[in-house]
Amino acid sequence: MEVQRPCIAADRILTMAYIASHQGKTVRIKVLETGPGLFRVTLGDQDYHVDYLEPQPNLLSLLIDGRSFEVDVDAQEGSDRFEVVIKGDHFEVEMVEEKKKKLAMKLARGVTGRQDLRSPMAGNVRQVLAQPGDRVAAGQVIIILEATKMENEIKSPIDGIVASLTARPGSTVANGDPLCVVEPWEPQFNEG
Amino acid sequence: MFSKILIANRGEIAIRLIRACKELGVPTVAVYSEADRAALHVRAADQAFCVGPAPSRDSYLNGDRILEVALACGADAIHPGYGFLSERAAFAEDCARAGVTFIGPNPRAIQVMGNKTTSRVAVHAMGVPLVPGMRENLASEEQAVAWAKELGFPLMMKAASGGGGKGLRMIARMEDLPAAYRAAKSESLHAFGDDAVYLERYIEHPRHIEIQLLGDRHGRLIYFPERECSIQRRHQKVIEEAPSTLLDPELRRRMGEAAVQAARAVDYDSAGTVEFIVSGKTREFFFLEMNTRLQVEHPVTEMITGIDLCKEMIRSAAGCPLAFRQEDVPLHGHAMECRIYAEDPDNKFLPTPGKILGLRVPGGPWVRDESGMYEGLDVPIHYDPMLSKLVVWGSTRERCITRMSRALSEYSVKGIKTTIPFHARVMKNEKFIKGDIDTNFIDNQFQPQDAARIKPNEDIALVAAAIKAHLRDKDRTQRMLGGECECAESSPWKSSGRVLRQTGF
Amino acid sequence: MNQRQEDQLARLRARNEKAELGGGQDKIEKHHQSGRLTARERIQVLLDDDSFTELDKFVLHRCENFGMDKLKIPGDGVVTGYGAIDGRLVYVFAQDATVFGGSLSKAYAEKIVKIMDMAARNGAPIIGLNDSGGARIQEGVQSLAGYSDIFLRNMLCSGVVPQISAIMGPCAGGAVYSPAITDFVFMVKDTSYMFITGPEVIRTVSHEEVTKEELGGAMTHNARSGCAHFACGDDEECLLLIRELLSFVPLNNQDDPPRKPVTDDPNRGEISLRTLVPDNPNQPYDMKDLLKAVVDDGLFFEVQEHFAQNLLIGFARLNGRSIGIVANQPSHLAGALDVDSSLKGARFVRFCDCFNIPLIFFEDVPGFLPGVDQELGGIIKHGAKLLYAIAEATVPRLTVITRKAYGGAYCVMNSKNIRCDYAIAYPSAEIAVMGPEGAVNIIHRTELARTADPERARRALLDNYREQFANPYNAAELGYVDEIIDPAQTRPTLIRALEMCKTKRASNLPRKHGNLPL
Repeated sequence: MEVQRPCIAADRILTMAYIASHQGKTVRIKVLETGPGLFRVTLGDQDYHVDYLEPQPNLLSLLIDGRSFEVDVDAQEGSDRFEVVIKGDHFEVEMVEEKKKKLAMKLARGVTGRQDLRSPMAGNVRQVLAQPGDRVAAGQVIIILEATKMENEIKSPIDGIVASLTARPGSTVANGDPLCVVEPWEPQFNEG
Repeated sequence: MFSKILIANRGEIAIRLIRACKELGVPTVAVYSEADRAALHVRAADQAFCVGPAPSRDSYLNGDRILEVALACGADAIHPGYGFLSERAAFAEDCARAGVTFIGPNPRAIQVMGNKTTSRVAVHAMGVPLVPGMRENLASEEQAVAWAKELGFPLMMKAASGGGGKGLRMIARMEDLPAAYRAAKSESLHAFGDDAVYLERYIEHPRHIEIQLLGDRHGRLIYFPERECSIQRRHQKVIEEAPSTLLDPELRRRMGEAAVQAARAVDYDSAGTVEFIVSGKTREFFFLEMNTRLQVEHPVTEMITGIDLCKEMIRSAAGCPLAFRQEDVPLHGHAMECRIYAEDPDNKFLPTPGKILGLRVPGGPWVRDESGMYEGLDVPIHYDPMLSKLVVWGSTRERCITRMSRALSEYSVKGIKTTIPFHARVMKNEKFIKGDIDTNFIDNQFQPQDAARIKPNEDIALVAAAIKAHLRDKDRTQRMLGGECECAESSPWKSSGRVLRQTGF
Repeated sequence: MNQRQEDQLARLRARNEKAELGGGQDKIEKHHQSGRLTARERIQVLLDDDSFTELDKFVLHRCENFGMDKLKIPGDGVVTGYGAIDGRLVYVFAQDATVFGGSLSKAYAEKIVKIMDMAARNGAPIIGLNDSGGARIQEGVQSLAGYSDIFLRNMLCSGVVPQISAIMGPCAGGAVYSPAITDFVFMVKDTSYMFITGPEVIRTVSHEEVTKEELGGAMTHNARSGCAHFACGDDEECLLLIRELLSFVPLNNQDDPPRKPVTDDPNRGEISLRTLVPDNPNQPYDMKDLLKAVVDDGLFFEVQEHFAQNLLIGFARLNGRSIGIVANQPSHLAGALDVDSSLKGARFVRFCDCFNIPLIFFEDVPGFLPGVDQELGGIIKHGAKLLYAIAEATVPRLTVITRKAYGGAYCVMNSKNIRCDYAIAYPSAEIAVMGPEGAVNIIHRTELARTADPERARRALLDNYREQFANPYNAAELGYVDEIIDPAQTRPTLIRALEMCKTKRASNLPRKHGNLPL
């Protein structure tokens, strides 16, 4: 079986894979250009042979295995969201290049778990704004450290509860000294 | 005939009226608010004048300004369409005083029929049946029992301060009455701060059926075959049809004559509609109210009778006697109208403002599209979100439904969500096809789960979006790799500079 | 096709399949269990779909000692070849830990050298995925020679084509010198480590107890030693981040970085920038907020985010064009420069200069960090590195001074006199020899010593100094700042300046190379 090997750089990219999201479900789609206006689109594990024509901007005529579809597609410039209308039904689809989507999903994971906050530099603890047992939000300032004549805000990286506090107002700390520990906290949803 | 008519309205009705005037050979004047400068009705008329900023009360409801415009440009008649100034008796009087003909009924008719109390009193005096019910509030449980006996079951206990469908309690039998009375009073006090309640007959399988009337200045008044407007959402009509599946010729005649009687109470002399509530179970009909103006859904009557109601309304206002008699009014086939709103039927019918990026309007035999929208229109937030009416005729009701389905499938509005898919689903609904409908149809048949239904062709949508994304990315990559052909990007000047700078062995 | 030809093809297919199994299915299972992808799996994630062409799949080692002649595996432990990332040519080698532990032999090194030479001839980046036990002892000195061959190419290609290393498993001993020379080092948390001498040897020699992770893990090198630039959660994240990095960088030093189609309005003003810099000079703010408000789509690709956090470096785009950013971070150490941040900044500046990436400096620096350990640590020569690197760079260089720009640090951070192309200051900028506190103490020392109420006099003098010197106007009057702008207009101003400099041609005096104070 001959595999169409794309040319590098120079002219074209012949195949691209996407992760499509619609109404909370995602599916992998592969698009292979097999000729002018002809595509083989693989949705999950099903192949569609598509004859694609755009007679007017954003108005598509698709012939798929003989069936004819008139489709309206609208995309914002620079966005990965497409609004598709087929026979009166609206679909809002997100179509992101596979690797880009995977990276975005990984990076969105964010900071989790127990946070052991240590002093980033030598300095004086100027103010302590929370006590053990206090609930803090991500980004909330817990301690203000004075160092190099500047106030440095030590913020909680997560939503959580202050589990312990080693820093006392007026005390001096060295680089790396423990300041406080924040434990993650899951809000209870059945309040009141 | 008038020498010039000013249309004091906007959107699809303004265009409808302008077309009628053109066919009558009468020049037209359009008025528009600042938000409507690009509107179709402005372009369709012979003259057009701005009457104020976007909010209705500063423009389309500004009677003084509109009258000013009419006088300034020499219009001798004003057609108010529906809504806006059409049922303002004061405006009708102002027109009369200024010597401009208000194309509508006499001001007294507007006034009397515009008030729930006076209208009911007036028509009752003419022997038109009203919904059996009390006109004052209940003073005691004993009184409730007495009234219940007189009105007959089933009953509806209503909170006097309630509204919008709230504060209603159905009572099926006398045994249930005392408990219901006590509960209704306490609920009403809790919800509305006032425990006043009264009784009315409860109409089972209620259907909203209305009779179109046309009168002239010479005392002639005729009725047309009825319109069925039961498909409503929050008391707003969504789909109308003519004739109704409930009526037979006998009931049609009785209702028509009752409607005429009601109109005679105010010497009605123009086009208008008498609305009845009809029990789907007992086929009793009761007067609801009278609209002393042209209605949104007038096209369905036009389709089954072949009579242009707008032109006739204008002719009558110009003093021409009605050109036909009661027995000349035909009833031919079946017509339906779907009102297309800028609302999302899959999201609680919330309004969907936005720009109309594309528009494809259906055609074919007996398909009539009454549209105020056009490609590029930014659906304004100041006015009613109705975009257009799709009206279809078929020789039978079944054929009418099939044709409407076909026409809806061809209707495409891009850029905003509309109620088109909702109408398409109604056309496929079993009960609707059978004609088994009442005013609770939408609430019962179209639950929110309906919105989460799996739409057909989801896979095709994904395929289409994928190919579009692929072509966009291919184009982007080509531009990135090929480089844009700007001289500055690959200038020899730059290249030689780099070569000079680098050191080698 | 006759039978013989069909047999030939069948034999080729069989050989290919066997080669692609590397050390065998069992070894692949074990490798997966350790949380790592195989070499070929990594390449599939790294490169565009179906774009990889493998070279030298059947190469065998040539060692006869220790019974190695009986044990030959095709490919010999490294997968090499070329492919595309976003349609652009790259060369890649991926060490295969399932074959002899990924250890390096002469033949293996020759495979790597071959693609490095190709990369140098054809002008394309080299990406190395490291996962190796080190030198193959059985090969003796030949493996060391192999390493040296690689190191030579690393040096030859440095500044010619971008070189990226990913440490995705062990990388110990001499092997670390290759990644060390490359431009960027990615490490995978928990499954990779890099050191010259390991914990066992350290224990015997200096009796220090330390784990592999503590000594040379991803966070150690990212946060403590500064030897690595990225710490990634897993193999996939590492490879996808490499793709992201490459999108900012040209294929070779003759080329410009790729230009993306513009999706963010180049004329976009940002009102929030007017209030970002606090009035109180002792109050910090997050410089990243400024960067995100200015660059295209708010996307700042930070490099070495865990090291020397008082200086931010990274890539972004303005008007679709790649730029390198160097910015003081006032929320850390007041944004002062120190040993670590000087080193961090200097190397990054030189990389951008090698590869025609314009530099933008966002300045809010009170000076160099005072401290005995700084001085003993050689802040003098390390600070000089940063100064040298910036002054030497001939790519377009812009500066935005948001607040403080004091003393020597002002000179170092791309000041006008070291050939800054365009210097912009905010009205809140304070460009002076030193801050008001220090200056007043020195200038008015005698006066303050004599006066009855020194505190009040000091306050008055401080206010006076602030009025007179802690502002950008003196510098502007002298032409050392090209423009003082409304902070809301930062983005359009920078874009206009960049467009103006994009044809810049500058050079240094002819010499073999300068003597950068290393």
